[in-house]
Amino acid sequence: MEDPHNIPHNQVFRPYNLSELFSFWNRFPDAVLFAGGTDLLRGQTKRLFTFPKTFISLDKVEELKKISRTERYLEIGAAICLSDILRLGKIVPEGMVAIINSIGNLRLRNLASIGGTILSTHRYSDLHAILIAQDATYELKSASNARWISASKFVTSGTELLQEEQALISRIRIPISSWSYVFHKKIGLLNRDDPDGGTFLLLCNTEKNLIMDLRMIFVGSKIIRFKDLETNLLGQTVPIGEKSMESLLVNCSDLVASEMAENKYLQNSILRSITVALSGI
Amino acid sequence: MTIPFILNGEDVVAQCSVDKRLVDILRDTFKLTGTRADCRNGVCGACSVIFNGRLVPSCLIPAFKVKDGEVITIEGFKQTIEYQDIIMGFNQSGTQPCQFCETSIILTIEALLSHNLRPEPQDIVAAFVDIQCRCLDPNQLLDIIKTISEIRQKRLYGRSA
Repeated sequence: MEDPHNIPHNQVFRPYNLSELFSFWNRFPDAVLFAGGTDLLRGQTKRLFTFPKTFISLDKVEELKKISRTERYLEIGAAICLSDILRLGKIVPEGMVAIINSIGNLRLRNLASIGGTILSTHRYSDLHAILIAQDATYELKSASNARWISASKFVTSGTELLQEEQALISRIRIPISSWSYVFHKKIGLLNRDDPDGGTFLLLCNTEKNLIMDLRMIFVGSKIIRFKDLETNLLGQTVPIGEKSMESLLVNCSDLVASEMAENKYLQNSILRSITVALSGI
Repeated sequence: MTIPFILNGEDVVAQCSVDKRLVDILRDTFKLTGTRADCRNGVCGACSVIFNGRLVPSCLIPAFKVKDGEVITIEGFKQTIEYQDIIMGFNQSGTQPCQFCETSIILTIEALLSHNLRPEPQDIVAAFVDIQCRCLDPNQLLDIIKTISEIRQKRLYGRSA
């Protein structure tokens, strides 16, 4: 029977642990998971929200709100909000602090969860840059199984895996490492939704003026990992000579042009960022 | 849906659908109009409230999330001694935030100082990056927050930096 008053009949479940969550989810497989809600609710400007018929709120699930640290890793529960990650202090990688501070604003960061940010539907979240560059892994948990997947593999096949296995991201594990040089550049509108924007990140370790480790990545509407450049620069002396720099930039320029053929602004911004980043090593 | 929660220190109950925004609950049910619904997108800051100890945009908080939580609006915050520090800082500088931006500016200052009593200029700029009040000179805001910080430190520790 149609509801003459058009009153929404949404069901909201608020489980207290993963066992309850999977039990609800098994009964209602179409239920949408709701953490901070920033991805789901932003862009909705009508007076009342348009909600899925059934959703599961994750804000009370204990296992998703844990933070732990070992000598090698920092583990963050997927429902931890971005501001709480910043409050952990110096154990948070420098690149991660810079990127989180460029996402949204202070109020939104108090709502947005790290898990929800990773799964952002607007475009690839800037957070992927640091998570991929630092070889982070995500724990995908379902009712019967738990496994770890690398951040780089997740961007290609993670969403399908989550749907197939009816799983969620429960923890994010970030290796603790320090870098002698970190360069981050936000491209596009700062602290705003910008489908044409992105983030450029370079992490470098040098020892006795030699590049020992280097990670370079751009994340926006596409993800560009500069693997060839990373390999070519290993063992090179710093500062990088002019001729080497020119040849590196030509290679990068070809890669960027092929990935971002339609967007001259992004091409130029990425190349400019690469030039500045490499000059600073 | 019946939503019991703590509003400005008092136990209250709201009756509304799960899809109603907190900002509309505050304005419609409780007549607390200091919290304004402007962009409805979490960007402008006009709907800022302190929810479970954090500064959040109430336009992005659906009713079901408010259940058993604690909300402090600008009206509630004005009853606190922390608000007195902030107003004293503005008075000493000879300025006042405009009425429309008052909520976002005052609560953002409180959020900043409650985590770091001596914020650096870049922290202040980062906190106010999305609050575009045309009535307040951004440089003046840095001085005002420094003044407020000194007032608060004097009150808490009997001395300023």
